[in-house]
Amino acid sequence: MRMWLIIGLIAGAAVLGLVLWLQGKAVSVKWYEWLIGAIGLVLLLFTIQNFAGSLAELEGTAANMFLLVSGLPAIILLAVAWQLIARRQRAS
Amino acid sequence: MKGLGLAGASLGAAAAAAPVFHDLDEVIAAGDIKSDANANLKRPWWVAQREFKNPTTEVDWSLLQAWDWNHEPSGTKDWHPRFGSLKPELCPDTALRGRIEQMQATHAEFAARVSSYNDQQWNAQAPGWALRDQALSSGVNAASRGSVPFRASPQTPEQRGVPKWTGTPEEATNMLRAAAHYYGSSNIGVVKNDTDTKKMFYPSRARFEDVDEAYEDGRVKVLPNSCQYSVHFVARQSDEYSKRDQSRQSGVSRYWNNPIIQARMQTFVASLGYEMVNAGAMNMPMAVLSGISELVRMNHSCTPEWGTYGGYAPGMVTDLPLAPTKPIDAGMWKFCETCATCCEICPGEAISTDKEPTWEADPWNRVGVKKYQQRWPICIGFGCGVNNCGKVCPFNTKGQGSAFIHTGIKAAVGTTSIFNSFLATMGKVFYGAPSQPRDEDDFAAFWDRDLNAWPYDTILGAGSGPNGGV
Repeated sequence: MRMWLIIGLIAGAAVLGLVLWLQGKAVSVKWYEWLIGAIGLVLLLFTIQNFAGSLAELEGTAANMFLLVSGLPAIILLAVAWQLIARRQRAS
Repeated sequence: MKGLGLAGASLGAAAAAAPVFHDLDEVIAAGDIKSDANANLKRPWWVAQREFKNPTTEVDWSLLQAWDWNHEPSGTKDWHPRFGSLKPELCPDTALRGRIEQMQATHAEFAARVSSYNDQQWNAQAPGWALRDQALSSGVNAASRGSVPFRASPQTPEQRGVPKWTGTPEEATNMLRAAAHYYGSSNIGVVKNDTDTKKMFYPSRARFEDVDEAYEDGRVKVLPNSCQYSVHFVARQSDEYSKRDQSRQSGVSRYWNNPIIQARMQTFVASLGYEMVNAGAMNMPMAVLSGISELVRMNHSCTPEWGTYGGYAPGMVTDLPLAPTKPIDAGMWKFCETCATCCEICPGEAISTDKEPTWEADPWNRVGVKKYQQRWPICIGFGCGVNNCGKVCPFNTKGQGSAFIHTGIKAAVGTTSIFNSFLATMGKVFYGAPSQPRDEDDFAAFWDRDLNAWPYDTILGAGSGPNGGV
């Protein structure tokens, strides 16, 4: 539980930092870009928890499967959100 | 200010996941001790309750009769493989005799193979079978199942100069659960002893009579009709060590922990001024009837919280007025239709591979229960250990500290069956096709493991870690 409190603090601070930075750079973010990024973040946290939990259960195969099945899509979604924003910024 | 709010949101979200009272409703719920028999141990939300004597495994109480191993009135004399009593040569049905002989041959062949493997591993002092592993197993057996007395005789309330304890039946059930939790049992179930449920007692070992006190009549324990309730206590077993079967590191077993729990509970209840007699009914059906678990394909009882390793629930009878606890539906019995993972690891194919349960029972299964009919002549005393099937059940998961996916899947299975096939398949993808879950590297690493990182193995119920508490 303590680990998740810390992860929550870090995630909250990171999102806050990202929002402030975007505002500072006058970068606009569409609602669907927020949505894709949020889903990616949730998937990433889901992957971390299940990876760590599987290792705690001594199930190494399952841990690696989580990296592949949910971790990879998480990275892809976050990258898609980033690229959508970045490319629209460049175009404008 | 916006920044403070955002930071606070994540802090609040993380804190909300902690197991504390989230609102006043939860505080008030804890106060239902006197009226709700399950007030002090709420099951997960996806676990539904059913009516008394109506578990997810269908029972025809009009057909069900008292039953015992190798017992003439039960029709199992010479017909049950347990205790080596099966005599197929006495069977007049040629086809049935042929099936029995074939099953016995399968049993004999694999039992020989398992025995030979164990001898080979011992001779090689292989990890898991070496002397210190054997010693580990021997130490576990130091407190045997025979150590619970027939009746306890502590200081009574009368001797203490006070009246016996009184309270509502619901309060009594919650009180027993609270005590059991302290003593090492994570949950209890209560069944009212009536004409139907008394059929769950072994007739060669117990009978009810109008007597004032329980007594022993040879092998048979005579129980007063005043002992109207059966209480069954969950004796958990380490999921991790069960995966190490058939090495000797699998020795820590629920059968060696339960005498401690039972003896403590017996003395506790007697100290309150009531009787608790060490004469319990069959643990599995009573666990199912009392809502501790559901029956599953392999004919084990399976709890929603810990799978088949929360599934041993020995019982005793008492005259303490209690509120019975209802059977549950957590979707596990239904999940068995599509899963059948236990069948794949059973070396002798003793577990039924039928898609759906059936009423048709061979002589070694009970009439009156619609279930997956076990091929007991292959299974009993097989030599694979009683946990070969149990250790691959997908519902076996640790509590706090384990992967969250288990909670999500159990919730899905408990709510709907439409994903069962997909989830059963994904279980094999993620955790591998059934095989021996642990290998020699794991057995060798056991003695070098970092105890700071390894969950503390204990039956101490009043803890808060993955193995000490829910």
